[in-house]
Amino acid sequence: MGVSEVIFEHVIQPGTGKAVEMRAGQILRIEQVEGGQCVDFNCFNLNDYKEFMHCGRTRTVHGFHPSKGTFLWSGPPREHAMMFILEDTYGRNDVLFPRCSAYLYESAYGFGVHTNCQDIQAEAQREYGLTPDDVHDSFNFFMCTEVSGPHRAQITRQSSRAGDYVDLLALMDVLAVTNVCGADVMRTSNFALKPIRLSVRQATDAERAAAPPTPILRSQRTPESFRVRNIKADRELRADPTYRPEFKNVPLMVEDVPVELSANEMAILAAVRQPIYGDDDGAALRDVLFSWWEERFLAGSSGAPVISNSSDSP
Amino acid sequence: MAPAQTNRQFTAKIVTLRLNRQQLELIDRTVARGVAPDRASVVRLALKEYAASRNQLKQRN
Repeated sequence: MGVSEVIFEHVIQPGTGKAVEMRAGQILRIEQVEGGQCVDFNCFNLNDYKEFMHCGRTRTVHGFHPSKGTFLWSGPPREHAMMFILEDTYGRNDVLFPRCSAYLYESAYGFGVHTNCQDIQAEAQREYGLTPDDVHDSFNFFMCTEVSGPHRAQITRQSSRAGDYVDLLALMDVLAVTNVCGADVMRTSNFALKPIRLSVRQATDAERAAAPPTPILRSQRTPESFRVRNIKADRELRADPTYRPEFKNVPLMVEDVPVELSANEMAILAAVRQPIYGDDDGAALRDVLFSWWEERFLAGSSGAPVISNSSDSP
Repeated sequence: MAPAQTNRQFTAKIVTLRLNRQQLELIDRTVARGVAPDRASVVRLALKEYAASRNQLKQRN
């Protein structure tokens, strides 16, 4: 596969970050200079900053450690695949942990001022008029984490090396904000901060073709469909006296569906029913019905979309 | 799937599911694509196949 010419290059030093404009079809390479450095990343729709990469949605679709072959998604109500991870030579990333913050370093370590991803992201994106409140949870590249028990996750040391990189293909015009994670007193970057090289180049046809199509659905809303289209420009929240709720599909009418079960089917129901329903046969059978439907027709877990091929969903 | 071994005797019964209209839409679309001829048949098929898959899981483990 041929590689196109680099059109932008920048080395972000410890304590800093950089906002980079990218057009759809360009590739951002995030590369280790010395190795062992966690990189926080966020991106916004360049033409509408209210759409941005959403870790929760990305985590739901691709799990806790998305890597090569996965997407960076925006959150509801947009839910677009914004970028595609075309290459990932280290293969360890995290979307469990939020960005570190000044509050963390003050509360846990007593620092008055300390490098942190919230403030670095905010300072980098200030170039485009965005405020600190516009920073969102970051995709943490080269960050090693693991679920350490039934209720906790933890950060572990990492072993990325100089030259390890991730290539992110922009699927829409984005502002990509990348920073050297400020955590020097945690394991995240093995207790030392190192520079990171950024470069942008045009994707080749083959690289663009490597991103599988994602479903384009009516539910991927745009501001044109919003009842409130304008971005609120003041800070105080006040109720609109003309507001009348217009929730969808309400009232949710309920209908009785009688189903005649044979003695044998009643015995089967008894064998598979969830104990939480007690003697409520209808609720137990409804659970069986939708559990079966999920097993038979849902391609991805937790409602994740089908990324390639056609859906078998009715 | 063979029912679990138990001393309990079972008799035929009409079980009533309470489904809201979104749930009914999903079931009706499932009927429309030919999975089963009507709502009640979908429910019975679900019970049969769900029990069979639980049985397979049990045998695997």
